[in-house]
Amino acid sequence: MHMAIATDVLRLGARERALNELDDIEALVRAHRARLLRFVTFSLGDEDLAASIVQDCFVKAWNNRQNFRGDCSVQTWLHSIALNLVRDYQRTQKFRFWKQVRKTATDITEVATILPSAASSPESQLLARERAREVAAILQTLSPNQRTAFVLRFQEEMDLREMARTMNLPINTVKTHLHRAVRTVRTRMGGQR
Amino acid sequence: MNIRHLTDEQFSELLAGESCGDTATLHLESCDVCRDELRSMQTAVGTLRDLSLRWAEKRAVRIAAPSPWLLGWYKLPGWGAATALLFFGLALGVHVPSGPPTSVSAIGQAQTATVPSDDELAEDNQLLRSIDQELNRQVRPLVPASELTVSHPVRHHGVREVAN
Repeated sequence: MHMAIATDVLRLGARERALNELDDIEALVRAHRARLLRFVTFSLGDEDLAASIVQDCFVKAWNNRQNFRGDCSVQTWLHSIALNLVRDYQRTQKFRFWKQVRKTATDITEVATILPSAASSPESQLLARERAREVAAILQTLSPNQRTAFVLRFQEEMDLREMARTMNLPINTVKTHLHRAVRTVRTRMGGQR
Repeated sequence: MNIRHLTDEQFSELLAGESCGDTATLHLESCDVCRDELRSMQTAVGTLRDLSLRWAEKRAVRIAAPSPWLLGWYKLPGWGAATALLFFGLALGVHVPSGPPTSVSAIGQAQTATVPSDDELAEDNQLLRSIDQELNRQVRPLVPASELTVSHPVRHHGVREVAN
């Protein structure tokens, strides 16, 4: 009984803090825009479109902040909103058409060549960058759910519960998508199977 | 010897930096192949994570906080009232007459006053004819008319409609 009350109090406190965070739109945007942009760019492969969706995500979050229940972090909540917007967009014919014909879309594998690696020697930098580019290229060939699972797990470093909350799927389904994604990446990278 | 390497589930957990039981840990200690594969993948995924975040931090600078209008501040009572007042004022401005005439006959007089007279029409027609003649004099064909051939029938919908 006491345990349940304590949990409720903690949750209320977390919700209160989260609502305060959500009220300051300037700080919210500054704190989360980079991670959201990366996540949506990996999901869509188009940086300009991703920026637009991230902007929409903040508008939606701010307008619906009173519905935030506090049962997850603000970051997870924002990612779930962004993922819903991505899914909405992927469903439209417009996206399917432009995905085929657009030549200026961001090649996510270019990300690995933009900045220098933190690895020690030039050779290891080159190798690490090359392997990172390979992973990024393989991610683009995965199904949307597998790609999302991989990105949320290894890029956004979410645990399975947060992933399930973000993807709005049962944990076991998320695990299945994640393990299939890992299998594909391992196989393509020449690993053991 | 039949070696059972790390499963995708074990590999995934180890890649995320979590422990996945003694069996996998013991195997990893004894299997160079799995250890190398895991190390290589950790480097690749970690590099991609770091680089992509730094890339996104640079690119995300252009994403500013949404404008008050986008944030739906117009839903707030004060903004709603201000917007309603603005629209009311605009509508009032459109419908309020700017001055006389105030009666139907006066409006009719004002309308007839703008109709051009016969003399004005004649002057306008003369002006248009002179412009037309001037243009015809200036534009000479680049190719003699005798050298022009038409291989397909040409439709003149627009011309016919104008002529009629």
